[in-house]
Amino acid sequence: MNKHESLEEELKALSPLLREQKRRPTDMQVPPGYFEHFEDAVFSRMEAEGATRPALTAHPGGLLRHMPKPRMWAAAAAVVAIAATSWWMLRPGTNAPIPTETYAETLTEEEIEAYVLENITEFDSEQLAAVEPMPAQELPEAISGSYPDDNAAKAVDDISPEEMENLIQQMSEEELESLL
Amino acid sequence: MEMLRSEPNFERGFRHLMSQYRERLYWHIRRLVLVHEDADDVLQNTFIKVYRGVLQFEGKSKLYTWLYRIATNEALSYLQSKARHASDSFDESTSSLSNRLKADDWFDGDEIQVKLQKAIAELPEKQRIVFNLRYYEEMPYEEMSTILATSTGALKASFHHAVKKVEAAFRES
Repeated sequence: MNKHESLEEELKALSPLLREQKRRPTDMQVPPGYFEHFEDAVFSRMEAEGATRPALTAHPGGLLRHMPKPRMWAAAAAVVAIAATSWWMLRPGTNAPIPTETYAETLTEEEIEAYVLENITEFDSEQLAAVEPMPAQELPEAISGSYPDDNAAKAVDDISPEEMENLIQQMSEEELESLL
Repeated sequence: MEMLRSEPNFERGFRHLMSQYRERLYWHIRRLVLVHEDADDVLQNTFIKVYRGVLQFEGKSKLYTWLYRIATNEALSYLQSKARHASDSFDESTSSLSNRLKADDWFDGDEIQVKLQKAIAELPEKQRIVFNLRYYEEMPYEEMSTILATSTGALKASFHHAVKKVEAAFRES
């Protein structure tokens, strides 16, 4: 027995009058094309009223509920692993960052100089150029003075005639010409 | 529902949902509010509510059950707010109902059908819903039971009383 037959049977027993009324053509109509244009009417009204689009994560657990179980467990395990790793790395007393000032105090000048020379390419040339030149009196003796003229002459004086001859022999014609 | 959960397909999914349920919900609402203009208003309100809340739908009940509940609540709220604005007299409000029915361009019933609608409108709220769902929508009691959260036995009894009252009012008039 379908839905209609089931109701017919019920009305037959309860009220033959209403059963008869039910057989009459429907008394209510809708304007032509009403249902076809209904969706557009709803969207126009929502736009006019500024109805906000719901957020996809609005329902707590909504997305998890629709996630397949193995994926849900994998996601949960990943969250636990990240939380545990973060706690391990940031737990008090381990790998606590050393304050910059304290760290700098533990380095010798030689270590700092070696570091700068090794990493000279890392320094921004514009930053280096912006550094104020040190006054001549504060520079170490080895690099102060009217370099190259005075010190070069001193350095040449320190070389023995035999060493000088060897050096000249190792130089090419063009190098010798450029020096002279 | 899958389409509604994906951001780029949300609007298309919502349009699809409306096209699937608009007619069933329209007739459910129309039988409660009777006039097309009111039914259109209530149906739009219903879908706007659904639009805002569809992602909170937990899937514990069937989608159409949830939609029917929203539509029913919207229709009843609409009638209550209309009644508040209308005359305090029950007789006046029911006579105004028949006047409004006659004035509705989309109601082409004769005097007998107007009387039947008046008799149905006089039923208590819950009985009216049960009567409409069974008499006009031919909904089985089991399905009605999930929408109205009432036992099938209670629904059968409610329909039985409603039929008797409508018949009596109809004969009187």
